[in-house]
Amino acid sequence: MKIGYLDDEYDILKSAARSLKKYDIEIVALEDIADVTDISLLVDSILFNSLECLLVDYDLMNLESKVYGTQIIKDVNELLPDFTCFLLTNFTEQGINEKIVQKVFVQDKSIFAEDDDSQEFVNFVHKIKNSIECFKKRLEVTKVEYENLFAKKREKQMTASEEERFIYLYKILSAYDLVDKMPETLIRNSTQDTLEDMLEALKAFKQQLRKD
Amino acid sequence: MARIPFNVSAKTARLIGRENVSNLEGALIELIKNTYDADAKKCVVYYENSSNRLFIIDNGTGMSKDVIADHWMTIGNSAKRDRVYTEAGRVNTGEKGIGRFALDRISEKCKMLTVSSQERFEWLVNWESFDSSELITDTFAELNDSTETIPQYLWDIDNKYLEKLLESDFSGTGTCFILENLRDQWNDVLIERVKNSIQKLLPPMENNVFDLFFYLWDTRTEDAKIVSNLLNEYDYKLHFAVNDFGECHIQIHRNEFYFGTQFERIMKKAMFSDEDRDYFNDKLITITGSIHDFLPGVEEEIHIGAFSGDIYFYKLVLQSDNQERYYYKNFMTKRTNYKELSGIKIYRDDFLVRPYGIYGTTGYDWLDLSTRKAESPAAVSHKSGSWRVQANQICGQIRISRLNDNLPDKSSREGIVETQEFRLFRELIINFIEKLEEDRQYVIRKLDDLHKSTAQGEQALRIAKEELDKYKTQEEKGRKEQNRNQTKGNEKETNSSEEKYQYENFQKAITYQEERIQDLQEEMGLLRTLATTGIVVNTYIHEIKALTTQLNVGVKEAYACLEEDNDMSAAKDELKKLRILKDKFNSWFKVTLDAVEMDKRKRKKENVGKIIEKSISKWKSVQNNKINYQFTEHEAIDIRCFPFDFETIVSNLVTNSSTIFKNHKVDNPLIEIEIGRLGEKFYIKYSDNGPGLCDAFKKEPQKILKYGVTDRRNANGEVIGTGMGLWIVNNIVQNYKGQIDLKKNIEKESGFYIDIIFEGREN
Repeated sequence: MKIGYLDDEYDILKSAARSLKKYDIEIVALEDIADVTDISLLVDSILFNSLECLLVDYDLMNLESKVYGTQIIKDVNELLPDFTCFLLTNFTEQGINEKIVQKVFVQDKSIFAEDDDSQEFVNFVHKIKNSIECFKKRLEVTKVEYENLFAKKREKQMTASEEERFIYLYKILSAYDLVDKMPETLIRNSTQDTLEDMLEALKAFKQQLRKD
Repeated sequence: MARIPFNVSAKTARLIGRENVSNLEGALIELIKNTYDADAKKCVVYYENSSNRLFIIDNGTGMSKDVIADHWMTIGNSAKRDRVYTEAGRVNTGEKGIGRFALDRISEKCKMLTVSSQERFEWLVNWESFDSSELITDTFAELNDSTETIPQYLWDIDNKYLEKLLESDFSGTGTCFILENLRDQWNDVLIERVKNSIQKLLPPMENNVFDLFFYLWDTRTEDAKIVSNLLNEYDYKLHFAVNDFGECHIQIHRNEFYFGTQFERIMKKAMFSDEDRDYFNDKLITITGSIHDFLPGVEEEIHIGAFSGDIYFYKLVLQSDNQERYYYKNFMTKRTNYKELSGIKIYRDDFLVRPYGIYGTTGYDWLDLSTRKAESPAAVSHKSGSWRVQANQICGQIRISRLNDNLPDKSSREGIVETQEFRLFRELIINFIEKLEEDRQYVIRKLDDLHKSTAQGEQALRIAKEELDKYKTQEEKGRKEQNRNQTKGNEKETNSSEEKYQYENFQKAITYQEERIQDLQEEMGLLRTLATTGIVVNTYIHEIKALTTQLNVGVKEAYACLEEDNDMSAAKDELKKLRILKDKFNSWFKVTLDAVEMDKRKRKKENVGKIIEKSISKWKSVQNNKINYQFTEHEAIDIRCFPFDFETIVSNLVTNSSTIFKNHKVDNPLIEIEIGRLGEKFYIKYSDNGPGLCDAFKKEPQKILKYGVTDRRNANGEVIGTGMGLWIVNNIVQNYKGQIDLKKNIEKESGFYIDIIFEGREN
C-alpha cells in the first residue's frame, strides 16, 4: 500500500515512514511539488506514484504557495472524489471546526509519537487501510463504467461528453494498473474522429447551401 | 403502451397537510393569512360557546368557481406562488398551497360561503371522509350555488354586536367558514392562548390596513378588535433599514434622559457636544454605511436582501439612586408588563414568523443576547467594558418581504432556513443593536464622570484629605513651638492627644483604603497579563503543539534507531535535532509564563525601552526571525511602572500583527516601534506593514479597543477572535493616565498604526 504525505516541513517523515512500514504501508513524501495550489500537478503526482491515500498537513504556510491543507483536500476531492485524504494537524479542533474535512479524516499529528503497537496507532492504521480498500473497491465499480464506454468507443458511438469521462476514467484506472495502458493517440483518436465527422458534415452542409 | 397515473391515498394527503400545520394557533394563523391575501380589510374570528362552532369571516374578494376547483381543491397548488402581489397590491403571504388543511386541524366538518363579484357558492366538506376513502380522487366536497350574502348565511349567530358589524361591513364580497365538531376543547385557557397568539400576529403599527377581531358570544366590537401591543414609552429606539444594494441606514432616538432646568449646566459640565444637545432634544442620530461596514472581517459579497426594523430598549428596573445620577426619565408604564412584549419578532409581509422573539419559546432569544451579556457583563457606566443589553430589555420587529428570497421560510413555516445569509443577517442585527449600546454607554459614562466629580463621597474624601494635610501642617508647627516653649507645649499636648489619636486613626484608614486599591490594581494587572498569556497560547496553539509533537516523535525515532537498527550515530543525529527545540521551547516560555514572574509584578523604576527591546527579542526567537523588527528610542523613558504592563502591550500588538501577516501572506513582514517624550508625557508608536484594519473598522478605528470586538474569522467566516487583546492594551494605558490614538489608520491605505501616549512618575 502506498500513501502520499504533503507537508511544509518533513521533520516527522522518517519516524512516520518507519512506523507505517511495520503495517506494510509505504509513505511517499511529495516534496518535489513546487506549487501545491496547482491541483492538477498534485493529482498527476498522486496518479504517477499510484498513491492510494494522502496525508496532508493543515498548516502549509511555510510553502511558497501559502495555503491551508483543508483547501488542498477540498480541491483534490473535486478531481478525485473517491480518493481519501487525511488532514494532519497539531490542533484538531481547528480542522474540525472548519467543517471542510469530515471529522473522521482529521487526525492529530501527535499520533506518530504514539508507540507503533499502541491501540491509538493501530486504529489509525486501520482507518488508512479501510479507506484504501474502499477506494480500490470504488475503482473496480468505476471499471465497469469504463468498459461500457470502451465498448462504445470501439463502435464509434461515443458522444463528446462521454469521451471526456472515458479519458478521465482511463487516467485513473491506468494509474492503478486496473486497465491495459494505451498510447495517448489511441485514447484521443475518437475526438479526432468526432472532429473529422463534424468537418465532413459542415462540408456537406455548405455544398447543400451552394446548391440551394 | 399503457400509461397509468399516480395517485395518493386520501389519508396520506391529509397527513401531509397535518404535518405542515401542527397546532391550533398555526392553523388559525394560516387561515387569517388567507383572508389578508384575499385583500380583506376586516377579518373576524368568532367562537360561539352555545353551539361549539368557530367562524372565520372576511370581507375580501371571495373565490370564483375556477379558483375553488383549480386551486382551493388542488392540494399543493397555490395561485399565490406565481402571483406575488394581490389585486390590491399586497404581497401574498402564503404560497405553499396547503393552508386549507388548517381547516382539518381545527374541526371535523367545515362549511364555507364565498361571495365574489360574479358568483356565490357554498362549499361543504367532511374531513372524516378522507379516512374512509381509499384514494384522494374518491374524496369529494360539495359545491352548491347560493344566493345568500354573508350576514344572511350567518343568521343564527348569538353575538348581536357581531351581527351589526356583519351587516355594515360584510354585505359585499367575502368568505366565511363555519367550523363544526371542533377538535380542541375550547375552554378559557385555550381561548386566552388563541387570543394571545392572534394579538402577536400583526406588527405593532398605528395604521394597520387590516383589522382583526376576536369575538366570543358576548364580546362588544370595540373590545373584539385586536390591537397589537405598541410600546409608546421607551428609553432608546433603534430604526434600521437595509436595501437590496446592502446600504444600511440607522436612526437612534435617545429618549432615556431628562435634565429639565439643569440642561445647560449638565451639557457644559459633562462636556457634551453641540450635536449631543440636539440628540437630547429628540433629534435622531443617523448612521449610514455599507453592509460590510457592519460586518467586520467579511470580505465576500453578501446578499441578505432588503429588510427594516424597529427595536426598543427599555430598562426593567429603575433604581432611584441611578435615576438621580443619570437623570433617567420617569415613565408611566409599569415595567413589569414588559415581559410579554419583549423579544425581537420577525414579520414577513405584516405577518409574524414564529417562533422568533416569542416569550416562552426557544426562539425568544434567537439573537443569543443572553450569552452575549454573560460574556460581557460590564455595567453601563464601566469605564472600559462593553455594556450589553439583556434579552428581556428589548423588543421590536423586523420586517422582511416575501420578495426577499435571500432569507427563505422553512417549508414547515416554523422559521427561516438557517443559511449563511441568515447567520450574517443575525450578526448584522446584533451589530445594529451595538450602535444603540455604544450611544447609551457614551452618555452614561459622561454622566457618571460628572456625578463622581460632584458626588458627596468624592467630595468627602477630598475634604478629609485636606483636613488631614491641615492637621499635619499644624502638628509640625506645634512640634516646633513645643521645642521653643516646653511648659506651654506640655499643656497643649494634653489637649491635643485625643485629637491626635483620632487623626492618626483617620490617616490609617485612608492609607489602608489606598493600599487596598493599589493591591486590587496590581491584581488586575496580573489578571490582564494572564489573559494575554491565554490569548498568545490560543493564537499560537498550532505552533506550540507542533513543537511538542516534533519533540515526542524525535525521541521515538532516536529510540527506534537504537532499538531496531542498533545505529548509535543515527540516534545521536536525531537527538541533536531535538536540541534545537530546546531554544524554541524556552522562547515560548519566555513570552508566556515569564511574563508573570514575581519580579515583574512589582512597581519599580524601569527603562521602558529596555523592556520593549527584551520583549522584541523573545518574540523574534519564537517567530524564527521571520518578522523584522525596527525599534527606535528617540529619548529614554525611565518611569515607575509594572514591567509586565509594557510586555503585555507588546505581546498583544505583536500577536495581532503576526496573525494578520500569516492570514494575509504578507511578504517581508515588518513591525516598527518608536518611543520618546512628548512634553510632560511619553509615547510608544507602533506600526506594521500588514493590510491594515478591515473596512468596518477603518472608519471608526477606536472601536477596536472595545471588549469583544474582533475581525478574526475562520475559513467559514465564523468569528474566532477573542476581541480582548487591544481592550487589555487600552486598560493598561488608562492606568498610566494615557490615551490611544488610531487616527493614522483612517489616513493610511495599508498598515496598522497605534500611538500610545501615557504618563509616569520619573522619581
